[in-house]
Amino acid sequence: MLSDDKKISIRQAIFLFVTASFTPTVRIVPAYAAQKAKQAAWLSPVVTAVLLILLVQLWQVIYRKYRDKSLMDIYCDIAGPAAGTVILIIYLLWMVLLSALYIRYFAMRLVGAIYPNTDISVFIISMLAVIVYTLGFGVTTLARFNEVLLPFLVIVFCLIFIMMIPNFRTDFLTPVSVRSILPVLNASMAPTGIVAYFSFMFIFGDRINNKENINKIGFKMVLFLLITQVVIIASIISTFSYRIAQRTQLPFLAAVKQISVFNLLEKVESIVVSVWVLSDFIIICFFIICILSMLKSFFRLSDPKPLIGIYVIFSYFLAMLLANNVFEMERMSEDIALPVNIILGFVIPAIMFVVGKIRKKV
Amino acid sequence: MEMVILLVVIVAAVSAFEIAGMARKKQTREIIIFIVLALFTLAMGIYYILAPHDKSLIYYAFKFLGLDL
Repeated sequence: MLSDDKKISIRQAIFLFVTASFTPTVRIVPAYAAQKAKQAAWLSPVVTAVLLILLVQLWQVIYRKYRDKSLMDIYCDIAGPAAGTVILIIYLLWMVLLSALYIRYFAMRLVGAIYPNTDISVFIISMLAVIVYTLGFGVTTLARFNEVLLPFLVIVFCLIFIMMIPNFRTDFLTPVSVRSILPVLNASMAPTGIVAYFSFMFIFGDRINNKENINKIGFKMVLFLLITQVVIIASIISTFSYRIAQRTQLPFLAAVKQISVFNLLEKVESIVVSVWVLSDFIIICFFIICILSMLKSFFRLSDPKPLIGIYVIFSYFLAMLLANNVFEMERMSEDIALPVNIILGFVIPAIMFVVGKIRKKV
Repeated sequence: MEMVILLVVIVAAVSAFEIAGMARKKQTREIIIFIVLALFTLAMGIYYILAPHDKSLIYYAFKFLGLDL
C-alpha cells in the first residue's frame, strides 16, 4: 500500500527501470557483445548481473540511513554541498544529453525500420506531445501505466522468442572456453552500461516508498534482467552467428524478420517496433522526470511541472543538433555513453558509499 | 525565415501560458528557470533552423576528446 498518492512503490520504480532498459538492451547489447566476445557474447550478462546485485545491496544499505531522501540529498550530505553539487551538475548534464539521445534514437529507428524517407521530426514531435501530456499527470500515472505495459511487453517478447526457436542453430553459441573470460568481461560493458540506470532511479528517490524492499525486489529484477539479456543475445547469435550479428545495425529486428510460422504468420517485426516505441516512451519520460527532479532540487522549486513544455521543446532541438546520422550516434553510445553510464551509475555511488562509511554517514 | 517566426511564436505562446500560471502562484524561481530555458531553446532552435546541416554536437564532442569519428 502507498502512504502518499504522489509517491510510487519501489516495485513500480523498478518496473519503470526494467521497461526503460528494454530499448537500449535490444539496440546496443547484441551487436556490441558479439563484436567483443564473439560466440561467447551470451555470457556477458552474467558479469552484469553480479555487478547489479552489488549495486542493489549498496543502495539498500544507503537507504537504511537516508529513508526519504533523493540521490541529490544523499550525495550532498555525504560529499558535502560543494563537491555534491559539482557531481550533481555532471549528472544533470548527462541526463539532458541522454534524453536527447533517446529521442533521436526513437525517431531514427522508426525511419530505419519501417518508415524510410520520412522526416524524423514527424515522429519526434508526436512522441514529445504525448510525453508532455503524460508527464502533466506526474510520475504516479506513468508508473501505473507502466504496470500495465510491462507484462504486455514480456508476453510479446516471450511469444517472439518462441517463434524464433525454429531458426536457432545452437552450434553458433559454442565453443566457449576459459579463453572466453576476458572477451566476456569486455563485452559486459554494454549490458552494465545500461543497467547503470538503476542508480538514476534514485534521483526521484524521495518519491519512492518502501525502499526497505530494494534488496528483495532488486534480486528478482536482477534475475529477470539476466534471463532477458541472455535470451536476447543468444537468440540473435543463434539465428545469424556472431559474424553477422556484430555487423547488423538492428540485429534483433533482423532476427525477428526471419520468423515464419508454417508460412502463415510472417512480418511480425511491426509488433516488435510497437513494443520498442512504448519502451522508448518510458525511457524518455524516465529521463525527463530525473531532469525535472534535479532542477527542483538545485533551485529549490516548489513545482517543476510548468517547465515540462519548454524543456521538451528544448530537447527537440538538442536531439536534432546532437547527430547528423545514425553512425555518429552509435559511436557516441559505444565510446562515450557506456563508460560514462558506468561511472555515474556504478563508480560514483560506490565512491559515495565508501566516503559515507569513512565519514560514518552510511 | 518562416520557421524562425514559427519557433518564436510557439515559445512565446508556451511562455505566456506557463508564466501566467506561475505568476498567479507567485513562483518567482520557476519563472526565472523557465525564462532561461526558453532563451536556450530559442538560441538552439534558431541555430538549427539557420544551419540544419552544420556539424553535429557529437562531432564536436569527439573532436574535443581527441577521438576519431
